[in-house]
Parts: sequence; structure tokens; C-alpha cells
Amino acid sequence: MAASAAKIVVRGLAKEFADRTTGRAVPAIGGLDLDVLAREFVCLLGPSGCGKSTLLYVLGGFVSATAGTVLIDGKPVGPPGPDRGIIFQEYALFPWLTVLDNVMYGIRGAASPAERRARAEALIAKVHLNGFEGHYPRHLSGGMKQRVAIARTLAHDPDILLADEPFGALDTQTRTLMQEELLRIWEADRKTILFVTHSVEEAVILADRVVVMTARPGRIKADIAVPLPRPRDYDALVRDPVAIELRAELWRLVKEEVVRARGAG
Amino acid sequence: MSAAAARPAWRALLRLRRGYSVLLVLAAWETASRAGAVNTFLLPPASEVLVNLWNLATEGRLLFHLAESLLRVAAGLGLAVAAGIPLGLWKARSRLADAVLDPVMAFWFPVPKVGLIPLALLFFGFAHGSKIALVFADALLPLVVATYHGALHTDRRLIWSARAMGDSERRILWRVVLPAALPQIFTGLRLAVTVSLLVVFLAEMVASSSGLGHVMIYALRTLETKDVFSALVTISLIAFLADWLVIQARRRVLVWHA
Ligand SMILES: Nc1ncnc2c1ncn2[C@@H]1O[C@H](COP(=O)(O)OP(=O)(O)OP(=O)(O)O)[C@@H](O)[C@H]1O
Ligand SMILES: [Mg+2]
Repeated sequence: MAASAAKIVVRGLAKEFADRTTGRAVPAIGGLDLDVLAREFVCLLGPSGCGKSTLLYVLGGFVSATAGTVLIDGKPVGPPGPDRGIIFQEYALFPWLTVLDNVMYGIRGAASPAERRARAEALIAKVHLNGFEGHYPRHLSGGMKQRVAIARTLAHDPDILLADEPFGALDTQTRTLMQEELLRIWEADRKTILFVTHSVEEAVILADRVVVMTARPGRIKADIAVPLPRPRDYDALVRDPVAIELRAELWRLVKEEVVRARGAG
Repeated sequence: MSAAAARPAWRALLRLRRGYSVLLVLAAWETASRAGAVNTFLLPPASEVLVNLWNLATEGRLLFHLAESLLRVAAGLGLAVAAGIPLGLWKARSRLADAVLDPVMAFWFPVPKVGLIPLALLFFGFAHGSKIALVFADALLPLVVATYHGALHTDRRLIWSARAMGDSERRILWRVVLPAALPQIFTGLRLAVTVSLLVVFLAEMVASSSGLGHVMIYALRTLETKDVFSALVTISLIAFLADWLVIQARRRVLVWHA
């Protein structure tokens, strides 16, 4: 497989931030290589502060890299655009727009207002929020907000979905439901997904491949395929010996880096 | 007594408490004057002032002056909103604008704007022009500052989300930064309204042949204390109503806001 065939190609990516007090350069990402194939679901694991969000922000075009190359479809990554959808951990819905208007915000093109509305309503139904079209975000629960955020991102039909711990703030039950919903949506229309998570269980349930990052400055520590059949059955995976083995292996890898991150202070 | 039964009555009382305090002041005023505690020339009884106010209002002269004052406030404030909000947004989103506006505003902020009254008269004449200019000069800064601070603290992920959905920077300014700044803008607007009324009455007292400020100072010169108080009551009423209007508008516009 030639590297250029991948949807996302990252080579030698480095990102430094200037420390606010000392002004010294602090490396957040230090020489990261990563390939993500088209329609692949990749989960990104790593200790807090290792540069996972920063990597997504570079891929999204929101911040620029200090060194290295990032190619999307073989071309250097450009400014943010509707080809890449991003879902933030904290939802980032427009608080002044209703659920319907938030989802409609993402719909572009020459479509008439009626068509846009119909598409938004279909997306809202897809994430099971019928009846909440007129609600403002502050009246929604965390899980509902996150579903609106997913619908809004899907509205502009991105090629690539960048998800930054989207379910991190949810309770376990809601989280499980959201994972199933996301898988259902993805299996119907496979996009390239790079999904950051803190949860080893979540990574095993969702991903084709799990990438573990080192402590800051982040690099790739391990790249592990998830050889579990799809569609994935949440209950079966709890007892599946392959899944159990995989979770243990991933947990061991992440723990090493968490310990290292602590040691580094 | 159950809490549920007590609650509506208590709520109604709370709603009326503003009205009650006004009635209390009026009652104290009336008593002080009638009991002879204060000379009735200096402090005519509230009832007589209200009757006088009614006469002035029905006779039409007061309404003319009220309209003059309100016209000046509306024009000056309207211009300040039209200029202040874009300036505040621009300052928050552009380093160049920030660099240009910061020293100007730092200089403008402490200037006692009453000192500008003679200049305004000189430049814009004794009629509407000078009053509108003064209202504009005073209402502008609170609006720029409030818009700037509201816009500056826009969640960057909201801006990024809009960018990822293909919005241009200009569109983001109006569709994301402006709504995000609205709660603060309303705070600035409330301040601007209060300041505008203050300035217009003051300027009318100093140099004008119309407006409520003029009515007040003219009554004072002719020793018509009832007219002085009638103008004062009108001014207070206008200030109260204007503030109430801003609060109502805020409630309507910011339904989404906690
Ligand atoms: N704007 C910034 N200015 C300075 N330092 C920053 C900035 N953004 C991130 N950093 C630093 O870069 C490093 C990586 O941050 P990043 O947010 O990418 O980590 P993360 O892996 O997403 O962590 P978490 O799992 O806690 O979300 C951290 O040490 C952080 O302090
Ligand atoms: Mg992060």
C-alpha cells in the first residue's frame, strides 16, 4: 500500500506552543506519523495533555503545524472547510439557535429553504431528537446536545469526521447509546473518522484501528488493528475473549504513558 | 398556611414593590409639604404638582418639549448603536482596529463630556444638532466597550465550528460573534440609555429653547416651582420607562440566554 493512497497522511508533525509566562517554546506534538485510510474508523488514545486535541485542530486547519507535513487526499491541509467536520468535547452548539436552526446552519448549497429544512428534520430524526426542534441548547441534556452537534456536523456531509472526546462528559448509559447510534450512522454512510477518546472500552467498540500516543510531546507509540467483526454487538463484546485481550493490551500501553506523563510533571 | 397558597400573593406583592416604593415617596413628599415641614414654594405638594403636570400635558406644550427631548435621544442613541456595535466587533476581531482604537478610547474615556457642550453648540448649533452630537459622544463608548468585551470572549470553538461549516470571516462576525456578544451589548445599551437621557437634559438646561431640560430651567428662572417639579417627574418617568423598555427587549431577544 502506497502512503499516498491514504485519506490522511501525517509525516513528522511537530507543534510547539509558547509558554504564556516564560515565553519559551513548549512542544505539544513531537514528530508524529500517521496514516488514516478512506472510510476507516481510527480511535486515538493517549494520556491527558499529549496533544490529541492539537492534532485534530491541525487536521481541521484551525491551528498550523510548527513542522512536518499534513496531506488530505494528497494535498496539503488547507483552511477549515466543510470537507472536514469537527465535533468538540463541549458540544459547541450555537446557544442562540434552536435545535433546528443549529442543524440547518451546517446545510449549504443551492438548496431552497424548504429543502434545507427537510434535510435538517431528517437529520434530527436520525439522532432521535424529533419533537425538540424548537428547543434551545440550554434546555437539552448533555447527551441531547451532543446528538445535535453530531447532526449539525453530518449536515454539511463532511468527508472526514474529527471527533474530540465527544462522549467524554456523558454518563455510562448515555455514552453506550451514543456509541451505538454513531456506529449505526457510520455503518450506513462510512466516513473517515478520527475519534479521540480516553476510554479503552470505547476505542475497542468503535474502531477499526486504535492508535496510542506517547506522553507529551506526542508521537505514535502503538498502532493496533481491532479484528472484531461488524456490526459490533455491545453486549457480546463485553465477554468476547479477543476484545478482552485487546482492552488489556491497550490499557497497559496507555498506563505506561500516563505514568511517564506524571513523572515528567 | 400552605406555601403553595401563599406563593401567588407573595409574587404579586413582589411585582408591586416598585410601584409601592414610588407611592411611598409620593406620600412622604405630600405629607412633608402639607405639614409645613418644608416651604410649599420650595416643595409644592405632590398632588398639586401632578395636577399641574396634567394641565401642562393637556395644554400640549409639555408634550412638544418631551417630543423634542426624545427625538434627540433617539437620534443620538441610534447613531451610537449603529456605530458602536460595528466598532466594538471590529476592535475585538482585528489587531489593527484594536491598535488604532485603544489609545483613542483611553483618551476619550476620562474626558468630562460636559466640557464638550460649548464645542457642540459651536459646531452643531443651538437646535437639535448639538444635543444629538452630545448624546452620540456619550453613548458611544459604553456600547463599543460592551460589544468589544462580549465579542472578545466568544468561544473559539463556536468560531471554528462556523469556519468548518464553510462560513467566511465576515459572515462569522455577524452570525456568531455578534449574537455571542448580545448579552453584554444589552448591558452596554442600558448604560448608554441612562447616560443619553442625562446628557440631553443637561445640554437642554445649558443652551436650548426646547426640550424638558429647557422647561425645567425656564421654570426655575421664572420661579414656577410647580413647573420645575412637573418637569422633574416627567424626566424621572421617562428614565424609568426607557430602562424598562431595554429590560423587556433584552428578555425577548435573549430567550436563549440563561
Ligand atoms: N493554545 C495553547 N497555548 C499553550 N499551550 C497549549 C495550547 N494548547 C495546548 N497547549 C499544550 O499542548 C499540550 C497538548 O494539548 P492538547 O490539548 O492537545 O492535549 P490533549 O491530548 O488533547 O489532552 P486532553 O486529553 O487532556 O484533552 C498540553 O501540554 C497543553 O498544555
Ligand atoms: Mg483534548
